[in-house]
Amino acid sequence: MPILERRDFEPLSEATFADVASRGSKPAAGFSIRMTSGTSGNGPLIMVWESAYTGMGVYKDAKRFVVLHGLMNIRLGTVLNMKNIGSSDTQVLMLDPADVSPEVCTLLEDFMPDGVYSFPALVMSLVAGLSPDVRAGIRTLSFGGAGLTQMHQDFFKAQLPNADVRVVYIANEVGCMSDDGCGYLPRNHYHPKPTVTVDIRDTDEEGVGDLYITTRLTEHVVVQNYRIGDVGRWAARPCVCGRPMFEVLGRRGYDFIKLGSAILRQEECDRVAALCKDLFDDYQLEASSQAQGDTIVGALTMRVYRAGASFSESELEEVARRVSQLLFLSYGKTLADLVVLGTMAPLRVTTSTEPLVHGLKGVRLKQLTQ
Amino acid sequence: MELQLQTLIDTVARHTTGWYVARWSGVREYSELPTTTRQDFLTTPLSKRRYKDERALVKIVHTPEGPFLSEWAFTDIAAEPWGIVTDRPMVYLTDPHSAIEKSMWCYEQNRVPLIGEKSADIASIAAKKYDIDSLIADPGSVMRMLPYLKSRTNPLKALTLVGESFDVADLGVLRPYAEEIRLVLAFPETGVLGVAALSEMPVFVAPENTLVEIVDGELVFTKVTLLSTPVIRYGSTLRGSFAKDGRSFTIQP
Repeated sequence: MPILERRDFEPLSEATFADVASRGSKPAAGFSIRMTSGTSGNGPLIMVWESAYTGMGVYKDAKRFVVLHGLMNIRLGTVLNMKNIGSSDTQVLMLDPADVSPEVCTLLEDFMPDGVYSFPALVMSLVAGLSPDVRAGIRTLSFGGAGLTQMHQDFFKAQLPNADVRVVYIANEVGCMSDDGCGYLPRNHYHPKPTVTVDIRDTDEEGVGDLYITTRLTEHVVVQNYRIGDVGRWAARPCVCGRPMFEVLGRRGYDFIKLGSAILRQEECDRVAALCKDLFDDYQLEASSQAQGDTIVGALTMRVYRAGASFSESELEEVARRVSQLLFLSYGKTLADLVVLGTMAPLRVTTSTEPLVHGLKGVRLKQLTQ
Repeated sequence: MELQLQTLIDTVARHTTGWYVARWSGVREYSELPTTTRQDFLTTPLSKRRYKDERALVKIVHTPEGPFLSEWAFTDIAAEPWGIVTDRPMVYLTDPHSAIEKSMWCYEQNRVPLIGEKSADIASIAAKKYDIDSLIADPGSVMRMLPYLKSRTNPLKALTLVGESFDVADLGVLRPYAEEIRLVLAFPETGVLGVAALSEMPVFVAPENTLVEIVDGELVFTKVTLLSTPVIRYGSTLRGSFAKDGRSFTIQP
């Protein structure tokens, strides 16, 4: 079966528009026009979702519901979805990231939201301005399209103590791929939606491989065998609720880079950077690999930045030494361990005199193609 | 309309939400009711001026004096004459709250809207992809879409411009790009107050559910339907005069 890639979506996009044009007696409220942000480097992709196949209901019980998102089409789609599935007296307040201000946080003391749908980073910026009463009133906190880090999870547990945090696996080119969650799912684990097939292929010894999705965008448009670009694995044991669950580890080439037997994850790199705050303020990592005989040897170049001060040679050596000793690249093995084993080259450190630019999604890792 | 008006006043007077009653101080005669202003919306939390509990969109209205909340039941959004119903409408507005509201209006008319992202380039790509046949915009946002409008081979069926005021001289440049250009006078908290065709001196026709008065030269509006926050004798701060028919009106620059 041919593999579908993101670049192959244009004919599918056309077909979804044809489907909405010939929808007959189906109500318009079952369809929404979606758009990818274009931040993946592919340019924006515009297509139609039919909610019967792509929709979700993770926030449906909220009565005073806040949607905070940067993209207009996602905000509209969420408002529409809430109108379709919410209760008869649901109030939906849409927030633009530009709305987040002390004055608007005061308005939220009047609105008293009990549900929020957003991105983790946006909620963190919002929560900082909310009163304790508003924080305590939030009962459901739902996210789509971005996994949670341990730091996110700890933050929300501390700041929104009554919130049931749910994450759905969703992408704007294919819609929602997981169900609403059962309440037992570990972080970044999901139950596939009954209408969606999730395959994990090209797996390594730990079962980690590429996610392939088969789903339906509209009644007549099927996305088949789509390599979505994320890396994941099936959980060894089923969820407490008895159903299978898969874990999404991140985006291949960005927050998850495989270098031979080593795995570089942005979350782990962020952890190490936090432990090296006395040495540098910010970082970027470039990863590459090359074959040396029968062995794939990975190489990392770390670019560091410190506000208002340059680095001495000895400081750069200290960055390399400490990062190598702290950064785990496989179970129980640090970069320093893998250098000794000969599967990774010693860390190379360079500096920047200008603040580092990470793009909209805060990407700090980059995989260099050979 | 008089019957509807009296029903509205009676309903509001009996309602457990006492915002209007407190302001009316026992007065029930419509012509003697005090006017409300945007300042009244600003200084009263939404929870103290809600008169119904329906599935609703809540907007943030940003003003120089600060933001306030404005709630609109979806059924009330549906009843407002925001646009002309066409097959492939696009909504591209500077204010994202207003954009969501007008997009939901399209859904209420059983049409699938395209909502424009903030970037005019992205919005134009999407408009081309959807092959839009109408556009709901504002006088500022429509100018950002002008390159797209110029690139079309045929005019839109309808172009609706929503605003609190209009500089018609600047808008004349849009004439070749739509078969019909409508000006919709509206405040976020009041909904549509009048609709006019684009002309040198637009004459606005109030929607069927809207009563217009001129009090000391100021246009004062009442929506005779019960909205989440009813609009009763809303002082618009706009100066205006009635046209010959005694119902439609013009706005003084």
